[in-house]
Amino acid sequence: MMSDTRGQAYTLEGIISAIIIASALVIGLQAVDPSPWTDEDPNINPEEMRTLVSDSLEVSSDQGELRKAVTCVDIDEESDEIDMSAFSPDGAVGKLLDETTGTNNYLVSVRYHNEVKGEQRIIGEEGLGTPGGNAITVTRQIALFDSDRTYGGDTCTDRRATLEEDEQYEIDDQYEDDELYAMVEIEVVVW
Amino acid sequence: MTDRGQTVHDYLLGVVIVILTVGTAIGVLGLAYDPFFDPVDNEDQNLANNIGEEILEAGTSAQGEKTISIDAINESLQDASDDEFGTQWRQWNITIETLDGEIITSAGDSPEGEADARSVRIINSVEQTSDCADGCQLIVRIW
Repeated sequence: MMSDTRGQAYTLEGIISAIIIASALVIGLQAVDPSPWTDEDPNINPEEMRTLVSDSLEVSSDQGELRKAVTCVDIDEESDEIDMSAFSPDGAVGKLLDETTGTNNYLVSVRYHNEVKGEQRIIGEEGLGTPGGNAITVTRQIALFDSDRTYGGDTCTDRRATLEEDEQYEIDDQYEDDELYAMVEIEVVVW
Repeated sequence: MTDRGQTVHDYLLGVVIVILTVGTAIGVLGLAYDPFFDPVDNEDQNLANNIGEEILEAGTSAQGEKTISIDAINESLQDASDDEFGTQWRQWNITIETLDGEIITSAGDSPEGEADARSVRIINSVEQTSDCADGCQLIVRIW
């Protein structure tokens, strides 16, 4: 026969158990790091990273390094790409990206819009690896003009020629009637 | 009196447990949720971002949007009052440092390990002789 003298004690026992289980769940959940499932690095704030990458590209642009980087001719005559050494971690633009983002997990691609074929063409890529789930993408456009200089070699030195004169430069004049030569887009993916 | 549903002991135990439970819920369990919340106030973060943007806009030179005069910024920061940036109720610190972390100039209160809202911008210096010729960080902290 069941006892009917300690009814409240049994109820309290039930409530205490519920509190203990709820507390254990809350405390346990806060110790769980969901990063492996979401593929996110909790130390990277996407908005902050986007601002840093965007600022770095603007600073490089202000310094003239970005224009130099996209007009750097690959001296290998068989190559159909530009020289991307300026975007490597040792290059002027790559070094700044490296230092500001604190990671070398980035991919840079340079492309332009081919007005004749009406399509985008990639003329250079730099970086290794596959972007993770929390990758951020920043793009910046640069207008190249007929009178812009071309550069070449590992350190991108002046080739003493303009874009119009340098036949080895990968992009042809897209606007022959204008001073505008081509619109180039630089895309940086950081993760 | 063996047929009572509630003894005096049960009653006292009930009162004690209710008090303890309420106290624990208020005092301890609230802290357990802390990791789920951002320690930095959104309002502070927006303020830090806006101040960073404001400094950049004010200092923009003909050489580019992110190329600013460090000397001019330094001068205006040293003269800045406590509520210069609409920060009457908060403490702020604005530092310009190289990408390696060497401080070029700093103004405002000194942050002492508080969780701060922070905005970091990359800038370039007009002054070619400056340590910032290759890029510097403008760091705005609000707490």
